[in-house]
Amino acid sequence: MEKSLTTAAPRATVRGRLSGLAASAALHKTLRTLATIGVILAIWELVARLFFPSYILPPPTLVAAAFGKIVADGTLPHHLQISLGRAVVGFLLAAVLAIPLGLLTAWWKVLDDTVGSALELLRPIPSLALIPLAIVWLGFGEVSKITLIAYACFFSIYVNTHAGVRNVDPLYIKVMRIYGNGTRDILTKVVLYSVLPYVFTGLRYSAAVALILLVAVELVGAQAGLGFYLTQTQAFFQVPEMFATITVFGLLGFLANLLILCLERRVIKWRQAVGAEF
Amino acid sequence: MTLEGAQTTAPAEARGAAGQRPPAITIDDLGVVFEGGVTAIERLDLTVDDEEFLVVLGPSGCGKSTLLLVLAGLLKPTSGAVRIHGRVNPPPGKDRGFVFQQAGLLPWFDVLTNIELGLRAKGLSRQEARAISQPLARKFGLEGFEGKYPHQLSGGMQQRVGVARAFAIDPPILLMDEPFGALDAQTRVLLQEELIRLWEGSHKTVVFVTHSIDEAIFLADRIMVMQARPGRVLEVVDVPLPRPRSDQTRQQPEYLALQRRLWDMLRAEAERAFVE
Repeated sequence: MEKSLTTAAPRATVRGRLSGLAASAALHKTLRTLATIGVILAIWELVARLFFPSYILPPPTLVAAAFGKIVADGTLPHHLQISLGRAVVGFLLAAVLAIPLGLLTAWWKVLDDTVGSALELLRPIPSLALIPLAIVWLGFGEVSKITLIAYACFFSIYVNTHAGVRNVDPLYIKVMRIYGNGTRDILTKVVLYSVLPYVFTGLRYSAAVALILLVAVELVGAQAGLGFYLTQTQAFFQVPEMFATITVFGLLGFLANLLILCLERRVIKWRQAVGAEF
Repeated sequence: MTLEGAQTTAPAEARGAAGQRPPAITIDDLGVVFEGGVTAIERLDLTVDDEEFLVVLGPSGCGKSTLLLVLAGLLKPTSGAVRIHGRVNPPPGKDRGFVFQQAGLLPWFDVLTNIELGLRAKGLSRQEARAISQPLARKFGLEGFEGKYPHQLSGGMQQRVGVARAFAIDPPILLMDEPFGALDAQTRVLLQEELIRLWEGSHKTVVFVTHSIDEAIFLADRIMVMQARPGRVLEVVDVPLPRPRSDQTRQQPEYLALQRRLWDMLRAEAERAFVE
């Protein structure tokens, strides 16, 4: 490698070296992150074992053991499945409603002045405040839970889609007009594409919102689900299981974000560095 | 093309013989005032002959881009009128191709799809459009780049796509808004030579906007020099240089004399703009 740099095909070699450097830099970063996590876990383990009873601060090894137990006996898979169902259905429902509505209100002023302004009135209300109302109106069943999750997720997708339409580069619209394209083609060939990065930002944000709402509705009134299980671990003082469940929520949030980022990278192929600005 | 060739021995002669053929563009006492009350263009009269290469030269803010937008049909004149092949203030149409300063390619479409933008709007099917865009891409030196996205191309290559997109609809009139203004000097010269090669023999009328004196002389049959605030015609200058033009054109004494003359004309304008 070193030798060939000074002789043949210097460009290719330099590029090869550069990408090699980038790869090793990424590896270093990963190693540093892993090392940091390891150190934190070690300190936690030590502090927990030395100063706290396990029903206050269980050491990570005990949490891991509890995690293994609730996975093995089917408790975690059972609740996880129910929770995921609620979150995913609520999230998808929100996306299906918010994306078209964001497009329509941003494009047609009449709709923006009516439907758009009505939504702006609802938006500042924290969705958690609507939980009691949802229970009064829709009961304790799945409908009220999914409705609340969908409602909360709706706004960030809607607002981002709306902003995306408003931020379409006017040059592209000028180009379309000059080349004889009508409104329909401007929508399908320009607006739909330029809005996508905004939609994905909205989706990632609302995935986090879906998790918050999921926990809230399951803490308040549920017979199953991860949030419900959390209340049980509290009632029975199973603190290691509680820690394990909280960790699962964290992992869910992390994976949801990753999943949407990957989807974004596959869909938006025309950008040089997808997601680099986030 | 052969028919027209039989009609007139050479395009240059046809251009010289005014009145024989109806002009491509007639601009009559044109005025454009923007909403804030800014006068972009004032009392502008001009006739562009069929198959003429007209360059509009002037400092920034002289209204030359505004003039192109009016010709393209995207901007309505406040007063006066433009006639394109006899039609008064026509809306955008396939009789005029437009080349933008920043290429204006849609970033989510590959090279061929970008070239086909006007063709598809004309109602051509995907296959029909492809049958035109593919050979055109080759002609414009884009072979091997057909499936690339704009961000994967250099500025010069992007503008080639922009010009190819305009040629694709084979319009009798080409409107070009400082198409090479954002490129480095060397690429710019190469693309000028490429454009003039493609245009000579294409029988297209071109209105080309620029603030570069060299570019204007190299390309034009006639140069309309504009002054800024308000945009007005300073002078219309004939370019007596023979065609086909090439790199040698830039060394000819007429070229250098014209360069001097245009610079003297624009100097006062430039200094005024500089102080402001």
